[in-house]
Amino acid sequence: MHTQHILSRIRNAKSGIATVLGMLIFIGVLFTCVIPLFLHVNQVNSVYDQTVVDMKRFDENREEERIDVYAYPLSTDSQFLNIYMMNKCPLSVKIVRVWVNNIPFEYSFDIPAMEDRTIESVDISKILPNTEIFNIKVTTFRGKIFPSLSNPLYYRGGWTGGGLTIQIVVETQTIEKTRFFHIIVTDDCQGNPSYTYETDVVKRPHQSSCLAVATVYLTGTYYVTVKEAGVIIPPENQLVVVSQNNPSKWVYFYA
Amino acid sequence: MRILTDKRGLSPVVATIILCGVVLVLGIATWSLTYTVSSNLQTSYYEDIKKQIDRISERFTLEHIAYSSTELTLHVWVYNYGDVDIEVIQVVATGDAEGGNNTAIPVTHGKMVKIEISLNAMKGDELSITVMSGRNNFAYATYIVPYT
Repeated sequence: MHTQHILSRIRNAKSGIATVLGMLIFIGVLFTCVIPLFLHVNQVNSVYDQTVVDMKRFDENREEERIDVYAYPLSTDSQFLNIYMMNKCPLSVKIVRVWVNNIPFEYSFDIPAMEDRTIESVDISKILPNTEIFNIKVTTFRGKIFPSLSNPLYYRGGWTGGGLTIQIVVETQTIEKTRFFHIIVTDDCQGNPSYTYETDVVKRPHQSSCLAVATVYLTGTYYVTVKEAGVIIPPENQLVVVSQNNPSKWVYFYA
Repeated sequence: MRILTDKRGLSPVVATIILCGVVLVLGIATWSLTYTVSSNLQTSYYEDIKKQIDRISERFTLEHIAYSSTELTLHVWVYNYGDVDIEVIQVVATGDAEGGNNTAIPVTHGKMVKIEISLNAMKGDELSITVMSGRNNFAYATYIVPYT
């Protein structure tokens, strides 16, 4: 009687076992195949979205990069160029290359936001004898290219530049110190100038020189004075003649 | 002894066992198939998206261009400033003079390569240069052959 009861229960429950097994397999497939697939797809999509955002930010940063570049020779007959760069954007800019005409010079040089740096003594002695015109530009890590604002530089026995400008270079012996210079350019040293340009420049500890560029609007005679803490660095009122033949003059002071 | 001799109820039990066996075999087969398909889908989906990620991560520019009138060669410097390595598959110059270079040239990320194109250009010729990468990205530049 008891055995009959058990067999009867098994007989009555037979369709349930297969259903339960089927359901278990279905749930197993769901948890081991379908759900991981959805999770994987979601994860991959997230990576893609993150890359899109990263690249958009990278492009925006690249667009924001802005530096002023001035290339200048160390002296009127120097075989070396200094590249002065003023970072005018809120991002740190990494310089990876300096181009002098078709010659690349590799660098790895960071300029913090809103600061200036100088690449010292780029050796152009190999190309100098056979070249008259020099175009200088720098390439940043983000792939932006900035030509020098003093382009082109001309070497005809001595250096000259383009545009009506006076480039004032203050060279120093004390590389380790920060020094401040006040530069005055006038067209009249007797106290009645029609043109005056004044600016402050900073020589930072890692630099041996600093640069100011005065754009003048007329050819003629100009006087350049450099002061440090109110003290004039000789020569006072250094005479500079800007003419159509020599539109861009370089003036050097040694402090 | 009655259990051994009484055959009543045996067929439904056997049927249930067979049914369960069939369900198990079919279920495991389905499970295995689904698992394989799902794994393949995951891999292929990742590879497809990875290709798209690499494509949108590519960044390169024509950093410098120079023409040598003695060698009759246009020199193009391509700088890869993106996060992935690229392969330049075509450089074409069109305009007043025409030429191209179809050699596949790999450019590691952060590096620059010089690519040469043979063409006969005159001073003052204006050229449009197109660089195509293996992932179908392009970079363009114009260049005027200098007089000096």
